[in-house]
Amino acid sequence: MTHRHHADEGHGPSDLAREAALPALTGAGLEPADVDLIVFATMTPDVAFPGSGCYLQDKLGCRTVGALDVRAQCAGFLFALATADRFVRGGAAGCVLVACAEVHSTALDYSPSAAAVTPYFGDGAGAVVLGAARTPGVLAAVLHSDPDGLERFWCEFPASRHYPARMDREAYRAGRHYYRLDAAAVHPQARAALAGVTHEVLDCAGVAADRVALFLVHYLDARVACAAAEAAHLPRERVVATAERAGHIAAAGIPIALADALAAGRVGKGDLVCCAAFGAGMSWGGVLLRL
Amino acid sequence: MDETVNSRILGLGHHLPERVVTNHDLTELMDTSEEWIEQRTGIRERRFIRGETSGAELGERAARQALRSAGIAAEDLDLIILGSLSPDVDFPGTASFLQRNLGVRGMPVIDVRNQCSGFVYMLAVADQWIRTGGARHVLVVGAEIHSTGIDLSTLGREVAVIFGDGAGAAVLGPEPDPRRGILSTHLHSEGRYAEKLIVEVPSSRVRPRITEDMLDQTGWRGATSSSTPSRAFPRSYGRRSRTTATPPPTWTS
Repeated sequence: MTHRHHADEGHGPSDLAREAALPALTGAGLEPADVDLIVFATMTPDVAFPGSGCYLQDKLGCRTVGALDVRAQCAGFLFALATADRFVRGGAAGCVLVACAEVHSTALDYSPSAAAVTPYFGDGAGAVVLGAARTPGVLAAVLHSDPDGLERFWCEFPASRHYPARMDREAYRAGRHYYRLDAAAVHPQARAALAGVTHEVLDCAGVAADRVALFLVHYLDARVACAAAEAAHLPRERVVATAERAGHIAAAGIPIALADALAAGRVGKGDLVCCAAFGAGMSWGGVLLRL
Repeated sequence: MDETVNSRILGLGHHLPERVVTNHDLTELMDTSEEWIEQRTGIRERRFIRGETSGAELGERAARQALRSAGIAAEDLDLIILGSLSPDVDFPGTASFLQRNLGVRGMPVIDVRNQCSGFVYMLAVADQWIRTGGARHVLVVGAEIHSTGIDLSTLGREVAVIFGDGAGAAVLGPEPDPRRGILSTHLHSEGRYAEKLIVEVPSSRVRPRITEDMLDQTGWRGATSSSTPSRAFPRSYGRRSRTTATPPPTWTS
């Protein structure tokens, strides 16, 4: 990666998500009033509470529909998408807006001691609109979590479990409110999980890798994402490491890369797109889409 | 197997910390009265943790009870959903810590952050996963540790008296009988009132998100000036949140 974007002062994820959601709705031939459910994925919410989905509902002028806020960190988009798919499949919602947005830049440590962590992260938003269709668009979704070693990639404070106060000066001075990443341990785990889950989701859908037009591999280090694609024997020319474009935007990285690929004419209607993501928790997953 | 029509709660569990905090106890921390609290909130006592305790620990106790009453092993869960507005750490979500406490791995875990209506949102999500065949057994846990994030001084008295710590859990599974289980779900939000009941700090729209000015030795600074409540503690504005976010006294009498 060469650059990343930082949000303007005072702009939260819901502001960025609005800019992503409006063209997504327009592209689907819909208006905010048509949305039956908002699913908002972020790990950097506008405020401690309420969730960013509530803000987005108001900023878009949607009806008083449900605004489900989910946290699955870097794999947030896939977890949100798979959940939204269930609402559409079951007939509970005709139109679901999946909005993903992150403002990491206000949380990062800009001192030299964080030189191995801070450069990864960027701000941004992506959105997709799901609706009922005769033929499925989400062909398969495989989601996993494994808490083993989760402190290797986390941000500890504020911590409600910290007694008697969830944030204090001692934690602040120790920098425990900054992102921590043990790259030497997490990178290999990510590489194996991303390679494994890509084949798992293809097998689940019964689709061979050579039929897939585009593989979006989402991890904070683009080199690791590429190594995972290589380990999975994916054709290099059809692989995009999402972090290459503008850094790691956690929940929003995949929908941004998908929108880029569509805008560039790299994929189009009817094409198969395979998404894989790995992140904190540890949570990871794969989703196979037919556009 | 019978065709799944609905999802149903197969087992329930809950856990409350031992320490009881009565309205009288609060009068020793802030300028208020037992009568005022009970009249305005309908609440007579709440539980607070004592010492380091996590939402995942409270949630685990509730979850184990729910699993036992459902006759389901934790390994057999297909999905774990945890709702909280007081997460254990900044990230990852508390669900990851709960998964570890339950000694299981592999199934997806997800945090839902829908505040006080979190449980209803989680039930709706679990219901959709089950009724569409995407999951068979789903654990839903609500876990809150509010007591480490409320202003227990006089400045915070309007809101702090409402909150308690605790956890509740439900295990859901498929139900073939269309007359049983979750019959219908309806979710709503209205963001124009988002800041009527809010904890603003930390906020990703504020650069940097946390500053030393926001803190004193013991935690979030109680007040930025003698009359301005801290943005790191829950605040409510106007009658709307008081009348809608808390039950009338008759509910508990």
